[in-house]
Formats: sequence, structure tokens, C-alpha cells
Amino acid sequence: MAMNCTEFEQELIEQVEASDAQWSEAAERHLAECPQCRSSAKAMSTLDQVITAWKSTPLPSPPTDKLVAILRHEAASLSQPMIVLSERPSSTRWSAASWMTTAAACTLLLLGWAFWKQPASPQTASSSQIVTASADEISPVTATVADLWHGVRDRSATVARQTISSWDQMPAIAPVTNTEPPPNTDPELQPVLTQHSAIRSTSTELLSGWSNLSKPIGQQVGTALQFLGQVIPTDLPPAS
Amino acid sequence: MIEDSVLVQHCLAGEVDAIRTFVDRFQGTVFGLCYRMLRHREDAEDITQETFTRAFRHLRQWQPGRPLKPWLMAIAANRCRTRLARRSHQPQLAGEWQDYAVNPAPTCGLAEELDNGLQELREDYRICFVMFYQQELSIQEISAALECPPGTIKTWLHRARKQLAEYLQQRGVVNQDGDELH
Repeated sequence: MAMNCTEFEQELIEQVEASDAQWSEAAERHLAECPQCRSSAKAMSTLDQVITAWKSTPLPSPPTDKLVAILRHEAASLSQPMIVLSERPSSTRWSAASWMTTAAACTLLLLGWAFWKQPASPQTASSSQIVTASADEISPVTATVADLWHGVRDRSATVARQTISSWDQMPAIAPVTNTEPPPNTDPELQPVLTQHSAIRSTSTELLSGWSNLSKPIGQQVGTALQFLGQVIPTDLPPAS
Repeated sequence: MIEDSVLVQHCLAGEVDAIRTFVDRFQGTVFGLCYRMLRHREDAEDITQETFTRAFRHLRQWQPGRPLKPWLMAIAANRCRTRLARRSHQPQLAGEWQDYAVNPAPTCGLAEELDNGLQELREDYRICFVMFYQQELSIQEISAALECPPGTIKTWLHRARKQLAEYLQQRGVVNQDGDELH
């Protein structure tokens, strides 16, 4: 069977790797009959000669030393990331740590200064300062004491007199005019003991016992005692 | 001669002698491909440097069972493609490339004609041709480097030859009968 031009070209492709073409018998017959493929085959053969001349053309020399220097640097940099921390001098690491610590300390100081400069809220003030009750202020405890007193007075003048009598028998606390708290004393009790000169207490032991209570209770009890000290002596019920 | 895998290990250890051996062994191949592809000495040097640098950076990932030369050639071919593509996007510089292109020796008329013909080829064909004839890589090695079947490489190589032959006929280097004229 005769070879056509396509089949001959396929044989050319298959022989592209060969240094010199070894045509098959069918290809030889096709070449004898087809001038176009014969011309192509001859052009390829000529091309091989041109390629030989082309290959022999000297190429410029590659920059060997430059390449070696670059690759040495590259090899060094490639080995560094794995041990970069351990190779760094310790002073450098401490320096970095010191800078971080200093920065953190400065931040904390700034935050503290900002809080310190911030004005105290009313709640903060009431919890950190003694609020002195005014004479006419009726706190719940005071109201309760007043209700009790008025109840006693209205129902039984005898009981009221007995109460006043027992009240008078209680040791009185010397009037205090100094509104400043004495040194080394618990400021939480100062409003109770210092605000009014006419306070009469049941006993110093009783008042000192209140000092163990929390501030709001102590303050209200003090106000209630103040009320009693002001009211009872002048509110004596008439003798029956 | 020290094997490629052993050479690579020494290079990774940073041994200067190994690095120099590595360069000596492959620089001619890589630079030759770059020079033939780009026809510009400085560009070829740049791409050769890029190729070796990239190869070194990925040398740890190189599989010892894989031939080193085709791997390097694949990197070089890709870098050349990138550079050529960049050139094509800078038409205003086309003239400059020609101005600074290396002029072959005047005695090499045939080689110059072939070089000019190579520039007319598709990049795939040109790389294939240079790898096969200039660098003398086998079809299998080119196939591995370009990640194409060997049959495709043979076809590309044949088409490159055919187009070059036609180019030489058009240029009057070869007559219609395929005879060399000068």
C-alpha cells in the first residue's frame, strides 16, 4: 500500500529525534513519487546543517562568579530563618523585652493617671465620704423612733414619763462642738457624735457598738438618737 | 562526578564548593536557553540569576528522584515566558530591545538566520527547539520539564523545524529544492 503525504509527515515526526533519518521502504517509495515531500525532506536535511552551525555559535559566558555570590547569600539566608532567634545576641532579645515592658508600664501609668484625674461620681462620693444628716432630716429609723415615741406618749402618759425618767438616768455624752473628726477615729461614726451639741445617747458603749455596723445603719441610728435628744425633753406629755 | 542529589544536599548545607559546582554544572544550560529565548545578554543574565535563585529557594522541595536539569530548565522557561510577555506589554520598548540585543558574529550568517527564524516561532515551539538542539535534552526530559506528553513535544519539534525550513526558504538561505544557497 502506497504512503500518502500525511503518513510521510507522520514518519518525519517520529524521526525527529533521530540524528539522521532512516526512511522506511514505504517512505522511500513516497519520496520517489512526491516532489513536494522530497523537497521537504531535503529542506529538513539542510536545516540540520544550519542547526549544526547554529549550535557551534559561541554563546557569551554566563556570570559565574556573580551567580555563586548570589547563591551563597541565598543559601545563608535560607538557613537563617530556622535559627534566627537562637543566633541573635541575648542583649538584643533583652533589649526588645525591655522595650515591650517599658511600653506596657507606660500604658498602665497613663490609664491610672486618667482614672485618677476623672472626677468622682456621686455614688463614689457617698461611699467614700461621711454624709452628715441635717437636724430636720427624717430618715427611716428616725421616723420609726418618732412613731414609737408618739405612740407611747399618746397612749400612756405614765409610760412616757417613765421613758423620760429612764432617759434622764442614762449617762449623757458631753456636747461636742468641733465638727472636725478627731484623729485616729473611725470617720464613719463622726456624724453621730459630732454634729449636734444636744445629743444624748443611751451610753457610750451603745454608741461604740454601732461603730461596728455598716455606715448607712450607723448614720441612721445616730440621726434617730439625735431626734430623741432634741424632741423628748420638750415633748413631755402633760401629767395626768 | 557527584550525583545531583548529593550535590543538592551539600548546597543546602551552604558549602561554597558545592554551590560553585552546582553553578558550573547548570549555568551553561540555563543561560543558553535564556539567551536563545531572549536574545538579550543582560536579560538572559537576569533570568539566569532568577532561575538559580528560585531553584535554591525551592531546593528543599526538590524530589531527588526527579532529574535536576529538566526542573531547572522548566523554571528558566517559565521565567523567559514571563519576561517575553512583559516585553509584549511594553511596545514602546520594543525598539530598545532591538537596539541592545546582542549582535551575533558576522561570520555566523546561517546561525543568525536561524536565530531570526526562531523569533518567529511560537514560544512553545521555540523552547522545545532550543531545549532539544541547544541544550540537547531528550524528548523525555523536555516532556518532563514542560509537563507535556512526549508525542506533543515531537509534534512541536517537527512544526518548529518545518516553520524554520520555510523561513529559511523565504529568506533565500535555502532554495525551493531544499538546497543551501550560502
